[in-house]
Amino acid sequence: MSAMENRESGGRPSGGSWILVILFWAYVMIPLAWGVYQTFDGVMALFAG
Amino acid sequence: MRDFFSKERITAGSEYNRWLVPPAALAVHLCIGQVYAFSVFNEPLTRVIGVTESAPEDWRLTTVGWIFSISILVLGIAAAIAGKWLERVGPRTTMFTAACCFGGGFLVSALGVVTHQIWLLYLGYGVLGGIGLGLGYVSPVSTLIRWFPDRRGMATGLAIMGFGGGAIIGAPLGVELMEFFSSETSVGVAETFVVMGTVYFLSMSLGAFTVRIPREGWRPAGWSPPEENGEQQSAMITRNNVHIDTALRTPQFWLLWMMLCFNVTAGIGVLGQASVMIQETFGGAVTAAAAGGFVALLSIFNMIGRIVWASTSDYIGRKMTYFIFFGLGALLYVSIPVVGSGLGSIFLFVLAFGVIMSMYGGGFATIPAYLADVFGTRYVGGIHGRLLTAWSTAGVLGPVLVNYIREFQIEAGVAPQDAYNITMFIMAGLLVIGFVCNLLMRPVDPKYHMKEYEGPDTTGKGSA
Repeated sequence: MSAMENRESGGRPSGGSWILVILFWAYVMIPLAWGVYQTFDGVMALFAG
Repeated sequence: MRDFFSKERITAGSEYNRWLVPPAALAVHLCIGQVYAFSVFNEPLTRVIGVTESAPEDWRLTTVGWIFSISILVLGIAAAIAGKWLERVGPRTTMFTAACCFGGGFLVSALGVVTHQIWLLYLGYGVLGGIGLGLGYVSPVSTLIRWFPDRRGMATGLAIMGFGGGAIIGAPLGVELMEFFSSETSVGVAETFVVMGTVYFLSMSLGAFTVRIPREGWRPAGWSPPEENGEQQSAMITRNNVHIDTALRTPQFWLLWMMLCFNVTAGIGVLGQASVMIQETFGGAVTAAAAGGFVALLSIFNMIGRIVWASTSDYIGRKMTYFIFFGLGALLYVSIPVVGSGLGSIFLFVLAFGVIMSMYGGGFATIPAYLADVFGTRYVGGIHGRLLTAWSTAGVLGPVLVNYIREFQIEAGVAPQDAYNITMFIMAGLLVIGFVCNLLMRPVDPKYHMKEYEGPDTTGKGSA
């Protein structure tokens, strides 16, 4: 591999790709947030007493 | 079709956004992490025939318990055996195969519930699901390491946080679906398996179809390895690669194997007994419902610890991070008898175990980055897969240690609230051994490096 190739940098992601990034992050984080919310319901019982 | 899955096809173009890779990895890990929530099905599976209560011909809890054990065992074996294959075929094929196995495992298990054949559950969720777990766990992690040479720990922490979060989603989802499908003639498990299997297959496939690998020579825009900037590079971060088979002949692999094994043993043993432990330690002061809240809180600490500790390791180094896990962990374990049965402080007890659980998760999340530092990135996925046999070993060792020592103590006349003290000291001892292993970690002897030198950085090296 040449030194030139080694110094190759990543290109700039297109503007549209950031919309896809936001949508995909929302797709995975919304269920996770729901799970955390459900879990905290159970946690409250620990300190309610 | 074959071309669609090839490594050439999934090599990213210059406009591909690398921030799509973490959610792709999360889409897989959030699904397979459901395995930690499988226990929500255990009790309903003992009422498949009797429905309202267990009938004589129903499965016993011990019979059902093997489903989880088989899946974790197969996870380790699959990850270890498939190491070379996943490096050869790339993440899309591996992640899609994982989706087929994990989703398909649920469907085969549903058939097993309907026909009341336990072997179909062992084969479905246990073997097929276990293969899906092993492949799905390793593949996105090694891909992320290549995309984030500047933040290896954070990237792997994100994915492996998903594995912790999978149980947080999977447990309430399983319970809600079983409630929805239950009737006078069904406990609703088979229907729940069909829905979850389908949803998980689709979600994991989405991750598989989104993921890309960086082209040769790629590096993040504006980033260069520290040594090219004249910065001091840690001696623990190699610029070379060690072959997957050669790695097993190095002392570093086995030191890391023991570190992971003991860190997981200490955590998993407590995790499995957390509910009973807090109730017995504080007598009647903690109800069963409150103990359930304690377990839930530990799962949150476990999940958050994965991203926080792994990201922290990018700044303080992997070795220092593990020193904290083992040093602080041992101190906290030793302090448990004092704050528990001694001071009787529920708050301090919960806090101590919360921090311990965060480091349990952190240990899982930081190990891939540690491996990449020590062995290079070329075969990190396969090497990581083989290291996961330590997890399988700990999965047996941890619960056995906690359960048998507790029983032995109670039979010897020790009060239940004091029965865990010896266990805590043994767990602290395991962490001290882990501390020594970490202390012995040195860079790999150059004789183990691959002969062809790949250049300063083709796949990412150099996170401090």
